[in-house]
Amino acid sequence: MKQLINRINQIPIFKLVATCFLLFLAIYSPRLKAIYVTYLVFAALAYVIIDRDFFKKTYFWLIVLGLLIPRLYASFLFIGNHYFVMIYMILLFLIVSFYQDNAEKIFSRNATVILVLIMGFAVLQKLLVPDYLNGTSLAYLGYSGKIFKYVFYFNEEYRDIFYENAVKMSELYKYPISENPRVQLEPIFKNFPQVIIWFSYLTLIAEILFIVALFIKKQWIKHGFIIFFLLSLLVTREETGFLSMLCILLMMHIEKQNTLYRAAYLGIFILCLSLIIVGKGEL
Amino acid sequence: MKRKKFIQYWSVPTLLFLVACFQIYQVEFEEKSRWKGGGFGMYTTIHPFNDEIWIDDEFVSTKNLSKRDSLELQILTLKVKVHPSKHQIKNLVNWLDIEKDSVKIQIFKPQFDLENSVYTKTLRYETTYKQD
Repeated sequence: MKQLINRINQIPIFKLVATCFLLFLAIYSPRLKAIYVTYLVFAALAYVIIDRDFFKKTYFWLIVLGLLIPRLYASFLFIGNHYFVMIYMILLFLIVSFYQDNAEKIFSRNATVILVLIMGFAVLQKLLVPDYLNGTSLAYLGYSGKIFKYVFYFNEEYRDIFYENAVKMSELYKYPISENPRVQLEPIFKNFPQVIIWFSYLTLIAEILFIVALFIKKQWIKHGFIIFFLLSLLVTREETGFLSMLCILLMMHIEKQNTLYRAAYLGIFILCLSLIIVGKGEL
Repeated sequence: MKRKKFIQYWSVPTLLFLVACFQIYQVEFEEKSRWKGGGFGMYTTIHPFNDEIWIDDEFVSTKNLSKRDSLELQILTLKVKVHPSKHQIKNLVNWLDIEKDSVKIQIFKPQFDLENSVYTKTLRYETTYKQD
């Protein structure tokens, strides 16, 4: 185990995160619904085999950035946050390819600020919406079994309730508002609505603590919390795509070499990637 | 030196900040969905794809359409749900080929009465579109 961690830490950070990102992009690209990206990313991967120092080449990152820009323009309305984070990461690789001597420091500082901004905006948006704090948004996912999947989905009875709720919810469109349509759903247990509200607040608090954790000096507290946060996210929401990118940013965030935590984030990244390959998780 | 440092450490976070602020502006003033556009508002509301569009008190449905028409209409309605701008509404009304001077567009979003486990809907956006 120690040997494995040492080997991971011996890989230059630029090479490690660039390889991880490119792998993610290759696996993610078929879901972009822009098939040309897949072919071009695989062409880029083929180039990686020829040139092991691909990540140091500015033109390489310019081409990768060029792959994603057409979809940004063509489908701007449908593009979610994942896509934007991908573009920010490519821009960061582009900048580091210019200033390679300072790679570790540039990655670390940028990743820290990017992570703070991502979580900061996530918290701000949740505070701006009454629907979040009163549990509406998570209730929809909760009653149809789209969150807590790995917690409750093993129970067949719960699964049936989730299915019936989802069917009832999908039929609401049949009724005009003048008829005051109401669908009675079934909670999987008595206090389920309270659990939804607690979970909404817990998520908000966890995101604030994530920002605080980035600045905690004691490494085991800091990374212990962040790893717990990532695994909780994986279990409750299956956000494997976004989690993969968070893991890459967290690998960048660690400035010091010889750390167990970089290997831990790499481990979670590989887990997420494996789940994406087998078709699990939201992207 | 200052410019170099800005490029190295602050250019990408600044871009992220500006995009997110622009998205929040669009959400607050143009009814854009929080889910899209780089503002990190996922899970704050129910996904806009679950919203309903009603035109002149009739639900816009893709049922009984050919596969191609259904797909085209689906894309147009999704665009209106994500961002009900005048441009998107115009595209939808034109596609539906409605021969009226003005049409009432309503978007309903799902709503929960969590205490009683009741799922219902509420008006998210309403406008009257006047054809040129």
